[in-house]
Amino acid sequence: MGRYVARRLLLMVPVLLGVSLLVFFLTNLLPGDPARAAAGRLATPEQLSAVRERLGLDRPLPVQYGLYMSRLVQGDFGTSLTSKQAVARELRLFFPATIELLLATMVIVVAVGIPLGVRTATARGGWFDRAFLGFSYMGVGIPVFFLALLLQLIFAGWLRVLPIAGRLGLETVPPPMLTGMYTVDALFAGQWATLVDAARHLVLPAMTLAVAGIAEVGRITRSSMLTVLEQDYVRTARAKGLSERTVWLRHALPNAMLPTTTVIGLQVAFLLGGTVLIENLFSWGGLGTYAWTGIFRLDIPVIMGITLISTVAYLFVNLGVDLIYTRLDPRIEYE
Amino acid sequence: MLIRIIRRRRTPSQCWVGARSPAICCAIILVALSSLVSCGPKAARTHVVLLTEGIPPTLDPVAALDSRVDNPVINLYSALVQYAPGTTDLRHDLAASYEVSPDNRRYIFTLRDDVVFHDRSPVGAADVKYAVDRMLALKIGVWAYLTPVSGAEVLDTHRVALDLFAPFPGLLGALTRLYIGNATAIREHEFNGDFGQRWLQANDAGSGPYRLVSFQPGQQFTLERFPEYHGGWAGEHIESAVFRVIREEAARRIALVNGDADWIYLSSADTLEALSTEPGIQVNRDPTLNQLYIGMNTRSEHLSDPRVRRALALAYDYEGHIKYLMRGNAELAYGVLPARAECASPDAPRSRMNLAEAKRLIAEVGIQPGEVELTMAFEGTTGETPIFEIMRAGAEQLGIRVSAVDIEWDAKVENYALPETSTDLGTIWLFAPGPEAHHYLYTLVHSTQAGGGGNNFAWYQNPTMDALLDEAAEELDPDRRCELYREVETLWLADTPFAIGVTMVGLSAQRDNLKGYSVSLGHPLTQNLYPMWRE
Repeated sequence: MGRYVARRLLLMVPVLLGVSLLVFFLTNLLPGDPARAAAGRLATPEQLSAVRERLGLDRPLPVQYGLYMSRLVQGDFGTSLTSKQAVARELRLFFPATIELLLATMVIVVAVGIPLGVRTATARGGWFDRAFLGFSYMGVGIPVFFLALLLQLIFAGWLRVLPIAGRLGLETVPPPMLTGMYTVDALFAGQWATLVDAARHLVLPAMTLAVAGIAEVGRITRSSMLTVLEQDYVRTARAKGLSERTVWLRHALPNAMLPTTTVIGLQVAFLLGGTVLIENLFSWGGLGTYAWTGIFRLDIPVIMGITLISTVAYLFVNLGVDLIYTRLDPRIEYE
Repeated sequence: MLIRIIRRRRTPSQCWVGARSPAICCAIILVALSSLVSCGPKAARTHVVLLTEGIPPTLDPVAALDSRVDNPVINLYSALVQYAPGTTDLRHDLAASYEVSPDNRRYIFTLRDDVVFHDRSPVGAADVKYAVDRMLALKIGVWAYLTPVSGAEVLDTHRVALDLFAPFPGLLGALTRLYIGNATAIREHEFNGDFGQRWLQANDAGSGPYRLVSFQPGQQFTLERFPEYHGGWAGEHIESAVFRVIREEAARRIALVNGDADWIYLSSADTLEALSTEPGIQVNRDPTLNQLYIGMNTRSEHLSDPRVRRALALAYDYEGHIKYLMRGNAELAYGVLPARAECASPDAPRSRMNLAEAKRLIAEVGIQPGEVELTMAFEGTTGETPIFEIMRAGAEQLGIRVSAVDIEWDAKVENYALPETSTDLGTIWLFAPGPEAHHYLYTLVHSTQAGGGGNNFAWYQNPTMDALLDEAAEELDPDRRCELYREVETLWLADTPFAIGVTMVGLSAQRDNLKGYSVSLGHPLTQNLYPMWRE
C-alpha cells in the first residue's frame, strides 16, 4: 500500500506539469496584456515595457514558463498583477474559506444523502421512496443560483433564522488564524460564540451546494443498495436471524458504498471548481471570489495559482477515494 | 403514519439510517441549528451597515479613479480641497488657503496646521509632495484626471506648490480625488519600488474622518470614527460602519427589509419601486453626473463611415431606455454632456430615436440588410445587457446584426488597448470627478485617449477636435470655454464617435432612521459617512 501511495504521489508530478503547461499557454492566448494589468490602464508605453521587462513578460513563453516553474518549486506562486500581493499569501487567505464550505457541504451530503439512499432502498416503491425520487430530480435540475435566492428568501428573509451572507456576523471578530477555517479556528481558540456564528453562516451556502449532492449520492446509494440487497449473502444474513437494521448497516451498506464513494469524490472535485457562483451570491470570500476577480483582470499568476492548488486538491481527493475503496472492500488491493 | 412519524421524532437516537423519515430528522437538526440564532452574537447596532455591490480591489488612494476604491477612500483620507457633501461646491479640506500664480501654472497651497494622520503624526507639505510624486511616478488611477500637473515643491512645512504644464481650470475639481497619505508610513512599507501599493492595498494611511478597523478582501471593511479628525465632531455622526459586499440585489433587499442593513445600493428600478412601499424604508433617487456613452469604433470596417455611426445612434431607443428599463430613473443628456455638467445647455440637441432618418442614412451608404454584422462589448454583470438589447433591436431595424460580447470592465479596457482587439461598439459609463466638461469631452474624444487604456473607445482621431479640446482645457474664461465646448459638440454630433446614452439617476434604499445621506456629484457611487447620523 505504501508503495502504491508513493507511486500515486509521484504520478501527480507529471499531471501537475501538464496542467500548469496547459493553463499557462492557454492563459497567454487570451486577449489582453498582463503587463497593462500590472502597470495600470493609463500606463505609458515606457512604463509598460519596464513592467514587461521586470516581470519577464518580454521573454519567450517557454522561458517565462520555466521561470515560473523554478519559482513554484520554491513555493513562490508569484505576485498578483493587480493586488501586488504574493499569490501564495492570498491563497492561504482564500483557500481555507472554500475548503470550509466544501467540507460543510460534504458533511451534509454524506449525512443526509446516504441515509436517504438506504432508507428509500429498503422501502422501495413506498411514498417516501417516490417523494425522494421527486426530490432528486428537482435537486439535480434546479439552478443553483435560484435555489440560493430561494433559501435566502425563506431562511433569512421570512423566517429570519439564518444570516443572508458573509462568513461571520458584522460584529464578530475572526478567530486567531490557525487553519483559516473560522469554525475550526474558533473551536481551537475556545471562542464558542464565534463558532456558533461561523456555523450559522455556513448553513445556507452549504445547503445550497448540498442539494444536488444529496440527490446524486442518495440515488446512487439507493441503486447500489437495491443491487446488494438481492445478493445471496444478504439472504444468508437474514436467514441467520439478524435484524433488518443489522443486515442493512453491517452487511449491505459497506458493499453498496463503492459507487457512492466514487460519486462523493466526484462531488468534491465538482465543488472545488463550482463554488464561484455560490461564493459570490453569499459573499463568501473564498477561492471562487478570488478566481472571479483574477480571471476578469487577466491576473495570470492568480489564475495559475488557483488552477494548481485546485488540481492538487483534486488529485488528493482521487487518491483518498481509491484508498477508501480498500477499506470498504478488502478484496481490492493495489500493487 | 402521521402518528408514527411524530412518535419517532421524539426519539433523537432514531435520527439514523433506520429511522422512518430521515428528511424529518434533518429538518429537526436544521431547526435546532437555527434555534442557535439567539445564542449567536447579535449586532449591537451601534454602527451602520451598508451593503454595496462592488468589491474594492484595493484601498490605495491613488486608485480612487475607480468608484469601488473611492468609496472607502473618501472616508479614510483627506484631500487639499473637497466638495461639500451633496454638492459640487468646493471647500478647503487640508488646505487653509491657496493662491494662483499670474500665469495660472502654479498653485500654492497653505495647509492647516492642526491636521493629523490616523497614527497622530502631523500632515505636512512633504506628504502632499509625496502624493503628487507618487501619482506621477505610477501614472495610474487619478493621474488620468491630473495629467496637466508636472510636479510639486515643498516651500516650507505647511506650504506646497503644485506646478502645471499649462493652465488647467479643472485642477481644483480634480484635486478632490488626490487624497493625501502619510508619506512616512507609506515609505516604510515600500517594496521593490512599488510606492507602497502592496501595503496600501489593505491598510490605511489617511487623515479622514474614519479610520480602518478591518479589511476582509472580497467580503467587507469596517471603519470607525477618528476622534482627532480636523473637521471636528460637532453635531450627530456615525460611530462606525461596516461596508459589506453582497453582489445579489435580492439578497441586499432582504437584508434591508429585515433590518440587517441600514443602506443598500440598487441597480434595478423594479427593486426600488418594490421597496418604496415598505414601512420604515426610504428610497433615494439621486441625480448624478454618470453618463452612458456607446463607443463606435471608427477604425472598424463598417463604422468608418460617419453616416453609419449616426444611423446607429439614431436607432437607439433613448425614451424606451428611460421609460421602460429605468422606469423614469434616468435622464437624457443635454447635447453631449450630462445636464448638470459645466457648459451643458438645455438648448443643445438631445438624443432622440429617429428610425426614418437612420434608414435613410443606411440606404445612402448602400448597406443591404444582413450585410453588416457588428460586435458590441458590455458588462452583463452590472446590468448592461438591456442596453445591448436596445442597441441590437434598433440596429435590426436597419438590417444590421449586432452580436454580444459580455465582458467585465477590466477586460473591456484591455481589449480597447489595441484597435484589432476592440469591438465595433462598446458601452462606457463616465464617472467624472466633477462637473467640468473637460472630464467628459477630452477623455472621450481626444486622440491621446485612444487605446492604451484610455476612454476613447471610438478610436476617434481628428486634429480639429484635438485643437479645440486643448484650447478649452487651458481656457480660464468660463464663457469662452463653453463656446469652445459647443464647437466640440457640433463636431462630435457630425462625426458621431459615440452615441450619447442616458444620464444615470443613483438608486439606493435605506432605513428611514438613517439621516444625512447625500451623494456628491464628484464622487459617484460613494457613501460619505461623515454627514450621516442615525436618529
